[in-house]
Amino acid sequence: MTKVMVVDDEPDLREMLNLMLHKEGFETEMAEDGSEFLNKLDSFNPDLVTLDVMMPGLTTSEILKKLKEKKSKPKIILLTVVRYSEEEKEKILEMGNVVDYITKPFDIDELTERIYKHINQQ
Amino acid sequence: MKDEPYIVKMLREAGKYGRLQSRVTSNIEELDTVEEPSEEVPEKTVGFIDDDVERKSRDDVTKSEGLGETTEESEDRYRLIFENINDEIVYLDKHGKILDVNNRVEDIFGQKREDIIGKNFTKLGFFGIKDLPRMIKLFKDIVMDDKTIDRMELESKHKDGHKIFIDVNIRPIRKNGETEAILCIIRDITERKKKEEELIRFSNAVKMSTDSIVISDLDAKIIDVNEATLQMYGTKDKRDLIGKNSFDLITSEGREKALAGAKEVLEKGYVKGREYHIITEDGDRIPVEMSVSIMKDRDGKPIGFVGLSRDITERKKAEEKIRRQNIKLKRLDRIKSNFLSVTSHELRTPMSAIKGYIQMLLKQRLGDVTPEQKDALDAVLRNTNRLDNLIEAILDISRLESGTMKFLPEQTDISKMIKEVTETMQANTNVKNIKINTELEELPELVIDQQRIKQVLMNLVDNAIKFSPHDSTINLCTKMKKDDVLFEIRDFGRGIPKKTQKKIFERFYQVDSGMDRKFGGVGLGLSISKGIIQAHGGDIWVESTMGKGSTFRFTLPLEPARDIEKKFKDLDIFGLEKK
Repeated sequence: MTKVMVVDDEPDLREMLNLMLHKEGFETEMAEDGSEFLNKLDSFNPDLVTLDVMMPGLTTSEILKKLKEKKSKPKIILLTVVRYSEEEKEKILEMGNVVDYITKPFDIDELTERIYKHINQQ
Repeated sequence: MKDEPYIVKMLREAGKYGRLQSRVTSNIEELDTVEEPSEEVPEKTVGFIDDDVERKSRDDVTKSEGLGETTEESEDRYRLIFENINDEIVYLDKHGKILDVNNRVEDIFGQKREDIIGKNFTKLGFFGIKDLPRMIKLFKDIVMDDKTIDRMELESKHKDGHKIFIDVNIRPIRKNGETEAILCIIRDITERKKKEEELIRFSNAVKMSTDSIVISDLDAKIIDVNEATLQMYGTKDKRDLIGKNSFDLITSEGREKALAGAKEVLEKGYVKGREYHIITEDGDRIPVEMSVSIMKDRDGKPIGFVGLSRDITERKKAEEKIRRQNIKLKRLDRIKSNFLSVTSHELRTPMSAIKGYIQMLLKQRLGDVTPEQKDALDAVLRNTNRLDNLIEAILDISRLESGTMKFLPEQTDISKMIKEVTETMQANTNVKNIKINTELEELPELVIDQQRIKQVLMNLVDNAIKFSPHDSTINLCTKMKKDDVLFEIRDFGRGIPKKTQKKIFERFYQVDSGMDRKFGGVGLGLSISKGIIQAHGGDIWVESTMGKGSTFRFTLPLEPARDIEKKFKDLDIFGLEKK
């Protein structure tokens, strides 16, 4: 079964995403910040992670840096509120595991569609 | 005037050898009255008389002893000297009547010789009313007391009224122990006087200058300083500074720069506005702005430096204040920008959760939904979207105002973009059965922020739909202009009154609040559109006739707006600067 992890500090959004992904038939896990995500990462070993870019604690780039030391190499979709320029997009995609980003507020169908797309691109 | 006594001497000599004959009048009775001479001037011969001459009889001098000339010859010679000498020679009788004068009078006073001979000097306007009594008294003193005047500088008047300066030598001519005539030799010193006055002016300017002026020789040794310099350096005595090396007045940190500056002065002739710190006698440091230029002698050879320094303590303080304010403003700008970024995150995150749940419910992922529940959920979603749009608009306005809106320019196919817009708007048009006609010229790709321009187009089309009657059309067309592309969105609605056409681009302006309320508009869309278009280097406006509809037009330059972010930050989109 495909494993997806939801990392977001907002409990309601986290729960909503978790529920949505669960209903889609994925095996899910949640983390409320970067440290929890990194702690749970190797044991859960997800195929894909939705990662909020603005959380208390570790910054996105710190998380991505530490991710390199982990055995688990999940694909990451960033959840952001800003638009990125082509240049920034390239930079983000170069940061290791990031495969995509989606701006809030998003359409759940679009998010699911993208998740399927990246999972199937193995 | 080293040749001046020579003239006098020469004329004295002239007296020894001959006579200068003139048409003169002699009217002894006029001594006390000093009046205009009678009109008829009787011809009479008066000699150029000196004490020596006096002793000789007329016959003795008919033939000049030394030169062996005839009287006529010598008279011709003296006449030649008289006429060609550079000074004016005036010969007056003891009453002040002019007996003879050479032609220089025309150059100096602008008076014709023939006009003044025979007239009294007091009537000729040589002196102003103020000076005249003094001059009459002086004349009388000369006549009575046998006084000679050497090199007296007087102010006089040219015939045309302008002031002239003259240097006067006066000799009484005595006969029988009495002054009979007066010889005046006048030199025009107006030019010299002007130069002197200029020098005095300049020297006063230097003296009174509130800026320090230091004159030094080529070795930078101080030769002279003005009062302001003494004040600046906190001393009362020039001797404290004269003889010092002018570089020693500058702080040691500035000395290297000053030496380089001196080299530049020698090469270029001057340096301007250099900033140094000087050290006062008390050891205080004062910031100054210094300009130095080279001083040259008459042959153009450098002989020293003139340094002008201004105390810029106050300016420096003001600059420092501005610098601090700028830092503060930048910090505020960062805080503002940070605030916007946090706010937008904080507003969008809950919206994501709400919308996500509604969508899941509507899509029946969380179980079956009754038709009534579905209607309710539709209403919740509609209002959520409305709230979402409002949040976006407010964030956009804030970003435009604070100059933090992000623009992402990219190559864009305009026709394709418009097609996407009309497709998106299709759902809205269906309600009123409105048709969107597009008329698109073939256009080159433009470098624009596609998403933002789409936002403008959608806003304009959405407005057009709102105000269009049922079953009408909206025309959307693009045209190539010289330097830009023109976009036109035309509706056949009720139109916008002339007086409000400009106001609609202001924030929170609603043409008809009732109408706008009905459609959920808050009056931000056009103001955001204007900001976006202007940031792209374009313009936006509306033309409308009441009852016939409105045409919104905007332009986008063919040349991409360079450095769009920066340009945008410099724009005063909402006229905030003017407030």
